[in-house]
Amino acid sequence: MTSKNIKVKYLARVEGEGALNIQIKDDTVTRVQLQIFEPPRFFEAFLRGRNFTEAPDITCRICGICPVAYQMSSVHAMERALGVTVSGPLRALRRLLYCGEWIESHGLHVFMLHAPDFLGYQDAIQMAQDHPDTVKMGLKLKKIGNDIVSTLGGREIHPINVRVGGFYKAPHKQDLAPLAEKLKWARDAAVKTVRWVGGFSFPEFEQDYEFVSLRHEAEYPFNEGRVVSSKGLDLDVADYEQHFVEEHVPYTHALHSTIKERGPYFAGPLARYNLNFDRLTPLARETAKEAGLGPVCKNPFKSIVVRAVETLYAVEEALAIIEAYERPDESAVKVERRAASGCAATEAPRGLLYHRYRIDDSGVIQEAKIVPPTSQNQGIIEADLYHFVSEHLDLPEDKLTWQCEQMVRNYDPCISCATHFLKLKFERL
Amino acid sequence: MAASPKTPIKIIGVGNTFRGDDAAGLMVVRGLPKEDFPQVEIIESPGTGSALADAWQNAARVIIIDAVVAGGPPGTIYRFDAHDLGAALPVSHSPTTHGWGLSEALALGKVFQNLPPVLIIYGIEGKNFGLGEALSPEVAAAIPEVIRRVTEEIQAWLADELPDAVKT
Repeated sequence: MTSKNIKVKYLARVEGEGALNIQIKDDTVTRVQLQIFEPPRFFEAFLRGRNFTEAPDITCRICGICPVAYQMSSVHAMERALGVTVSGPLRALRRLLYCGEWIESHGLHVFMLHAPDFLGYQDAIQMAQDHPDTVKMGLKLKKIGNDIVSTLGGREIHPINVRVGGFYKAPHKQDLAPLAEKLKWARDAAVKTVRWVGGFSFPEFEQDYEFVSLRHEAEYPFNEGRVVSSKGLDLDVADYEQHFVEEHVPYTHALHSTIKERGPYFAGPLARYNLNFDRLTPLARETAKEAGLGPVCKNPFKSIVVRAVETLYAVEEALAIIEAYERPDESAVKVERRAASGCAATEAPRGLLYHRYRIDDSGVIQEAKIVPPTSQNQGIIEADLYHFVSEHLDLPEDKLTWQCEQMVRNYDPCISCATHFLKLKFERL
Repeated sequence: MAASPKTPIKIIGVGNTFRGDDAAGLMVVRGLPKEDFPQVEIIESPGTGSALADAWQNAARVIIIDAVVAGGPPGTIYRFDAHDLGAALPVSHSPTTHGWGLSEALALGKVFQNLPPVLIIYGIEGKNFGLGEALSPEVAAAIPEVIRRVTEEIQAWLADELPDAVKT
């Protein structure tokens, strides 16, 4: 009997936080375990006893890459609980903020994390030596996303201007004008990016996934929409927990999220794209087609192309919002506290982010539930690895390990948002 | 190299207050006697690579303070000149965007040759990085010493600049 393990241990700094363990015996994959540490679990406890108005400023600390997503799901959940509707320019500003986050998050992932996999570089530093102009374009594009977030959010990383009901201070139209100039450059850069990544070679790999994302009646989804799936789900987010469950698995801190009686599902850019292709701008649809993407894409390796298309969409949407923007008289809708429960889901760069809160009559949070996209995708990542490794056991181990990592990166997982000195170590048993 | 008159010196504390000793860099910059050098820009950063690169852009002299895991006893203070670091800081190959941090920003800055002319890194060896943990006593004890040393460096730089300031 021959056996081997592929072990990728990627959080050397904090032992046991994250690791990928694939066990192979007699040419059969016997075990795939993706171990993830999830800060949201800590935050669920930390939120209890805090005022409902603090939720956006606390939850945005969960992630340095997608703080806006945490803020948006938390304010929408509180507003749904308290019967508040944010509309008009304040709603548009929230979409604009989300555009900024998608541009910065996708920009970082496409150029710095995922592209080196496809071009055969160990990392973006090596890639930058051969492709300096492309990497500089990517960094500049990403920076424009950060500029949107810092202009609207008050600062780049953990924005401080978002509140339940709207914003602390809505920007003046002229505050947004410099962003529009940069975004015009970004539109061309995003088109070039789609064409660039569309030209990569992609491993042949497709599965019969159930894709899950929001779908809105008119927009490509950021903040609002029904929870829909490619196999027929179509729900108000209030019914989310009737159809989706989280399960403990023994080898990881993270909970596995599944659709009841159906199993794992696929959230994130590919799911959004497949369920909302018709909601993209004409330029984004056209550029996607040029890059070889149809209206439905089932190859997760092509998620890099979809991220580039979503970046283009976010740039165009940001431009449209800025052009139409008129500053509202009030920066926020009045919110009155009372005992209530509410939930909401928004589309983080990595996929659906669900929050639910229960607050008492003085506005103190009694219960908080946060289901991040990576927890939802964990089952699918493991299933992909199982199928992929089973089909490619003949590959040399270094190449197989490389492609396993590339496969994990297809999902841009949020493995631990909170420390910054992360390292990757390989261990062969 | 002459410093830009607007924001020549930046001091960047890196870390996360929810992760135990990871907060060390933030604790240092919060403890600096800012009123003694109002012309120095003090920045708190979560340490993502691009945020750091943006933070040190256009600065002539920069000090970064960060928690490190280098294998020494907790609370050990390290001082590096980023321009002298060969491959001393391993570049992360983390499959996530969260692995894009200080070492990556330094490496990319070297490729593009756009690091600040003077870039000093203070590292404090950490022990506890768990969620919601407090600073370990060893790290807490090292913080005043790092504050003292960073303050000295800032004051030396400012004294060094004084003749230029007098001329203008």
